[in-house]
Amino acid sequence: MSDSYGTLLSSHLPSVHGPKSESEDPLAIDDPLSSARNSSEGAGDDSWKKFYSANELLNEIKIDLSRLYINSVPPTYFHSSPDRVESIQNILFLSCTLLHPSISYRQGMHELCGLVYYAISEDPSGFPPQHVEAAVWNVFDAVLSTVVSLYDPRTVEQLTEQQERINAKNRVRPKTRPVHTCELIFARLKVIDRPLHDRISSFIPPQLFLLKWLRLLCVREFHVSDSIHIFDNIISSLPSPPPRDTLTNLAYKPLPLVISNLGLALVLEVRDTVMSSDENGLLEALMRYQYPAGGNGRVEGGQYKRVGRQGIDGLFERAEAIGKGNIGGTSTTRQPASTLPVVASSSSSSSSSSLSSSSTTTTTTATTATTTNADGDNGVMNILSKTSSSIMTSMTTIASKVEESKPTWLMGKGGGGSDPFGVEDEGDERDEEDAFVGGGGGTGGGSDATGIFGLSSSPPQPAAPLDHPPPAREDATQSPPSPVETGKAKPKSNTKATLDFLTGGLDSERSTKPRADVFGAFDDDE
Amino acid sequence: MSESKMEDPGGPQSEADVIKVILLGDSAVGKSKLIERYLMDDYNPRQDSTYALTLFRKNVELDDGTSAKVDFWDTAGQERFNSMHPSYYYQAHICILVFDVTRKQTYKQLSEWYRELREYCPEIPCILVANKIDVDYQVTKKNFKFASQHNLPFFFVSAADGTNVVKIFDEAIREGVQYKINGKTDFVTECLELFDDSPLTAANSGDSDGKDGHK
Repeated sequence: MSDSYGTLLSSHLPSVHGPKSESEDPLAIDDPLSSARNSSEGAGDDSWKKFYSANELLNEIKIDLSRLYINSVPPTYFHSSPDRVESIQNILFLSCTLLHPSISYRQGMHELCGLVYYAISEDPSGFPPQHVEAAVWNVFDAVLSTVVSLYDPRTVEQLTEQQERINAKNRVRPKTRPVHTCELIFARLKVIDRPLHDRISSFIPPQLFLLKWLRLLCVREFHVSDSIHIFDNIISSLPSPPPRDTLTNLAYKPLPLVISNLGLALVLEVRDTVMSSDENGLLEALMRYQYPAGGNGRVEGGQYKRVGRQGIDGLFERAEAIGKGNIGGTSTTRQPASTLPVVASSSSSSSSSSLSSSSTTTTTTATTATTTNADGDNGVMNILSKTSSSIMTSMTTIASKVEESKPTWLMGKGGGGSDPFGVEDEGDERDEEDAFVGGGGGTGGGSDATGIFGLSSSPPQPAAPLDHPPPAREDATQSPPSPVETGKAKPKSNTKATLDFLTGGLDSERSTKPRADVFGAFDDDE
Repeated sequence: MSESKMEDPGGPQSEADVIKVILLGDSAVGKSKLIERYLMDDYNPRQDSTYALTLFRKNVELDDGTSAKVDFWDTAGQERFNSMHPSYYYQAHICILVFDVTRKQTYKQLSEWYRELREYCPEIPCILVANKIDVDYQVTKKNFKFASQHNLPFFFVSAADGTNVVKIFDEAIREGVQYKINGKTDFVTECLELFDDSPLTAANSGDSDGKDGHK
């Protein structure tokens, strides 16, 4: 129970009351007002530093969550429900703090997490609400681990400080992992379809479209229900159990083949357009991607047509064929995806269940959502087997249910007459030129009542409040304190070491870099 | 189409007649919104966060009656930490630097953005834009020193109500075209002269200690 998600949460989220003291004497906390602290950097406990950087991270996440939208999900789904947003925020915060502190939060992660949240919480079979957050945490972890190299801002090779200094001096910017990853994928295209490769590369670099598609696993390119199928296909094709160190390991790892193949399949899908149109058409095809090609994927106004599960499975079949060098996509030797054992590895029994797989396998577990059987029988179970089995049982349950009842749970939501792009009329004068041109006149007023740009550099607003310690999660009581939990227990127990290790490296530079005075920054180089 | 093109971190050659406009600034200052407002003349109150490089193209009629393709490059505000893809800066002709008047932090970060910009593009013209003035128009009475300090043309805009949006993009395109034709514009030269007195120059030339051995 102590290792449950709820405990993780309460022990890592910053409290409004300032840093948590590990000692009993409150004064033992590094006191920002203490004069003893001022002169020596790094002396003593850095709880306050951690506290502020945690809040900075939270604020960064909040900025993006306040504008979280997913195709075909009504905007109100997230934005009239503070609880949902807070759950996602908690998950992201924990993930970024515990699992991949060296990468931390990157824009786009919130949408992956939002989609997983939607998939799980909107399950019509009624996923126990108190377990949703913990379940999403587990699934998100698995999803993110597949694409983490597209978020990782570090260079491909770990550089020593000295190398970095030399590079900085010579203005050399070694390739970052996302760019490198995209180039690896694109290099495969050269082998598969040289003319297509050459035509594209003469106009735009591959990361421009590949990052856009793959960072979010195409969430922005497809209808939400199709996105869920895409996630399924990807999760279920991973080895089982998935490597747990993907997120914490510092070494570069290329994308899983299934995603790399998907990227290639998407490019090849628009081959005709790319080869036959001018530069504008080429850019349009790649940057405003539509699947299937031909333009009926996206309807005007940002609504997306559903491709359907078979459509998505077909896409992955072609992707796999392409990956094997079978470009024509003739998959005559292959079984239809639906009957294909999707998990390649050790699982002895059927592993076809995934977030939205056919419902045949798990009707029994459907009735036992919060019990603890069904141990590892299914794809999702295997993927997530490190975590509470009760939660995961529920996962498979909803997984199986999703497909079954999709018409109600997705179509009902996605359709609605509400136009997410509905634009309030914003006044007719769009171009009130000259109203405020040029410097705004007055020279006075450096600091004023609002203080927006006053001179004082106040510290980051503490704790845009999580004004309550997260409630003890109910799941804690229901999760068996079984060995399966050690997967999550591990990050916890190693957290400090991991954090120290990582923050001692590249990250510290960023997180501790003093915010220079507005103009003082340039003085550094003198 | 040489193979070596992909090896070039700068990315492939684009067509010669394209003006490349890049936008820089922190997360959620409204970069994408400004582009959207300009291209669509429309303001959609919702805006997803930008999570990857995005590129918009528009055919624009220039002052001299000819037309040009203008590419607007947009990216995640967070990408500064990502040592933004070099291709973002590659062959840019003009930069629009954006901050949000309702968040001081985004103003303080300008110097970081500006420094990175100058690292990649020492010479291109840059326009400073204060967005979201619709929240409180009083803010336009304030003096934002960053602009004068760096001799940047400075505009107050609102993507929400459209104030000045077309104007700044027109201005940006004009500057971009000029830079493309003339290399350094007068404006930039002016800037550089100003820099001669600033620490930035010392930082940029980087050879004050003689180790770099180049001028």
